[in-house]
Amino acid sequence: MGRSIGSVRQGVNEIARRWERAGRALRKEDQTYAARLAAMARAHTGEGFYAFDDPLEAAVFSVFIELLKEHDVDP
Amino acid sequence: MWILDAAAERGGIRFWGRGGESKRVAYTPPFLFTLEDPHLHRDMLDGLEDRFGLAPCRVRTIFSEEEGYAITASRKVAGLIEEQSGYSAKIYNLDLRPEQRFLAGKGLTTCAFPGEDRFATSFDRSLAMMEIGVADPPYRSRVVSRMAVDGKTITGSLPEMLQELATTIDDRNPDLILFPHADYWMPLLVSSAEELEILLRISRTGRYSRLSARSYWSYGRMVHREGALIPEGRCLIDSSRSFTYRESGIAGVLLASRMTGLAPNLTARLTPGTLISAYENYEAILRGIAVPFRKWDPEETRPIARLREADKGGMIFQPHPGVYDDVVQVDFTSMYPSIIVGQNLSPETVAGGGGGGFLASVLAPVLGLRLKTKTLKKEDGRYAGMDSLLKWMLVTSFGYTGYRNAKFGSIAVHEAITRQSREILIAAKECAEECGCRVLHGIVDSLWVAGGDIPRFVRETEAATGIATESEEYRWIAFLPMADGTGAYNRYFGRLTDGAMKIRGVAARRGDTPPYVRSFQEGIFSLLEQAECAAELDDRAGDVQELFSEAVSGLSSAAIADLVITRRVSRTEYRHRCIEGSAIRAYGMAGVAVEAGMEIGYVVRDGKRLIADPPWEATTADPAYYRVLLERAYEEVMPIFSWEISPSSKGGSS
Amino acid sequence: MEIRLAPYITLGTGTFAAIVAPEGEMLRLFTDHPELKRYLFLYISGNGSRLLTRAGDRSATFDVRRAFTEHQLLTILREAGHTIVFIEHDPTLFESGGRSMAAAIGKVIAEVSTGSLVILYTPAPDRFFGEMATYADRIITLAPETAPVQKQSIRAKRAGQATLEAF
Repeated sequence: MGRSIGSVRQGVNEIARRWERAGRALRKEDQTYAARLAAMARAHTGEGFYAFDDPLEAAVFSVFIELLKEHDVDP
Repeated sequence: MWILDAAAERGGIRFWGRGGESKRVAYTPPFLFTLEDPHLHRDMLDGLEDRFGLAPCRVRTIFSEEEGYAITASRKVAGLIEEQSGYSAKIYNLDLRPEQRFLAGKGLTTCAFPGEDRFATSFDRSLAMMEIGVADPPYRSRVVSRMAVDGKTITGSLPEMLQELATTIDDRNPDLILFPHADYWMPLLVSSAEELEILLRISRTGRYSRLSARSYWSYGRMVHREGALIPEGRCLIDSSRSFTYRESGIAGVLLASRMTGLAPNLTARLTPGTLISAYENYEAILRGIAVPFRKWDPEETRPIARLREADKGGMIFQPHPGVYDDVVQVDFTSMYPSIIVGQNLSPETVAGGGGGGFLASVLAPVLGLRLKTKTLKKEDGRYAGMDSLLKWMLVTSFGYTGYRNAKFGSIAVHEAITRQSREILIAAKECAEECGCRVLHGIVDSLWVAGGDIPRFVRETEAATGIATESEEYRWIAFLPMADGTGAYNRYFGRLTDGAMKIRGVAARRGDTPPYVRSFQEGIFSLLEQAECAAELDDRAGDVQELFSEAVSGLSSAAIADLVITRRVSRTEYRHRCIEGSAIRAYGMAGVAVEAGMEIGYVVRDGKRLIADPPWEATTADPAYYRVLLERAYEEVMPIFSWEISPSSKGGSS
Repeated sequence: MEIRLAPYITLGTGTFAAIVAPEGEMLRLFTDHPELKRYLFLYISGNGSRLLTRAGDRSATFDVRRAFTEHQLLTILREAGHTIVFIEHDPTLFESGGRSMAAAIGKVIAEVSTGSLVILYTPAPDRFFGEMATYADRIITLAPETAPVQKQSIRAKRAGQATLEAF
């Protein structure tokens, strides 16, 4: 947590909350994916700030990591 | 002379030794100032020369050496110099305590013999001691009806009690007095004694100096320091309020004095932050470095992207919530100070200057001494006080580098420290994984690992970083989730291999949890303590549930004292009505002035209507409100039962 | 160099503008004016900042220098060589020094503004902001979401009398 710049984690949380909210505008069958996406964005926030200064980059990176992990489990 | 106390007098300082010996020295030190372009301020300089005399001199800072002036004049004059130079004059050595400056200038210090090593692991601390107490409740009572002296109760009229106290003091001639809530009672005792013409010589001279009460911001919250009457010639410690005494005992108070050159009367009343500042000032004076009055030097200009990179805290590896078997917690000892010393970090070296950095060289002996006392206290408990004081000063030394008014602080140093700490933790994680360990959680200077070759990991990491570590072994440990489901930082509990439970971050460890709720949650941990591994925890679920039901039904007969919520007040006015605001008002109506930073206790009488009573007035508590507290304490722990406990190498998953 | 802050409000070199505005409105200076990237822009914040996190996106290139004490603020101002200087007011800087320090800083800001555009910004004015603003050429209040109201325009001498109702 920095003195002047909001932490990347806070930023990722804001993004995740926005994505959850965005889910409400989707069709019913698509809504669970928005919730999952938000959870995936949060999965690596703790470590994300080490290399990232941009919360969006950290969120997207986290999602991709989770997607790749899923891909490995169910080829 | 072994200096016990020091008091500034007109034109000098009076030093006191043990047993009442004293000696006065004449001392009127100048302050220093520099001007970027003296020619622009000829008139001012001439005026100062005429009125006070100016001595040209070299002013040595940690950065450079410059031509400047020494002048013996008041703080007011210093303020005028600042103003009249358009705030371009830089003032030094103005706000230093004269006794500290005098002693450091001569290479002496308090609570030590001349020539003694301030960093010796043992020192002469024989003092004649006495204990005083007042039985009446402080902060609410303005009457003294019962006192105690060295455990013996004395009663009677106030004049009788004061006379007995005065006689005992004269007979015993103490060097050090322990007195709970002294800073509250002393004004009353001293003024009463004066009125009654009783010679109460807590102060050997009958004079007291004042440390004013104030509230201030420290580490993100308001803290309150009580005003105090400080005697001369004897050390008076408010054993209830003194942070240093409570944490580090008399040994800590005396060590702080030796290190800072401030009398124990002061070190008992200062926070670790002020102590580290005083220590740095002492070291500066010792080395002939001028102590700046203001913070003029800002950080360097940089592109916003660079600031974003740098403005971060320590490294964190979020745990996956779950229960894990056979986990080892590895802590780096004094990581931040070790980084400062190991990397030679200091305001003047952080941008890449060579040479020994001031800050690094000043903290090195403190770190060295702490590493010794840490080992020594395992064999001999008498070192615990010294170890605690050193620990606190080291812990504070990092935060102090980022403090805006720190004389030798520097945000660049602060950032370099956290950057290095992140690298260290990442490298440690890599090392652990190379040794076949799994890293479960990490936060700033601690890692939790399981499996693999842990001893090898510890050895290699210590060798690579040059920082010592300490390990704790758990039979099992549970990492709890945050509201969003991801792992919480520093919220866990587990059973160590020696059988004890280690608990962090939950209600039982939070200061504002009322005793009833705390013992309920601790009761849960006592039950869980019996489990030898993660798999056995589920067996306890039923018992824990029963404990909860009992706690809820026991609420109606709970003692009021067990329902007191204790909180540190952050502000005294609230925009919206709330329970804390209501408690503060109740205190006010009872005649107790509440300042920001003070700790107050209250019992919630009606949670919906936001009514709270101070503990001495409370007769009923709102069962619904406290039931919610119990539920929260219960729900904090419950997640562990709903997790699938998989084999230890996989840990839990939801 | 000129920025059109809002309809009827254009700021240019040689101006010291004291601006009171909600954060959202002030942020538009950064988001709605990509052309600012062409200029040397210095952002001066105090202890903590409410705007800095949101003021720059990934492509932001402006400089930052933080003042944690009033004396540091003075040094930063004296050393500033940027075309646009944006100061996020922080009242905690002035707690010990009081008004005379604020006045000194106000003067220095005015000096700096002879060669640049200096914006002194606060979401809520206090007496220190008011003290510094007496040296401003213009004092602007931006209301949220409605047309901005130009409160005062003091084109004349800095030392001229200006009644600032807000302070």
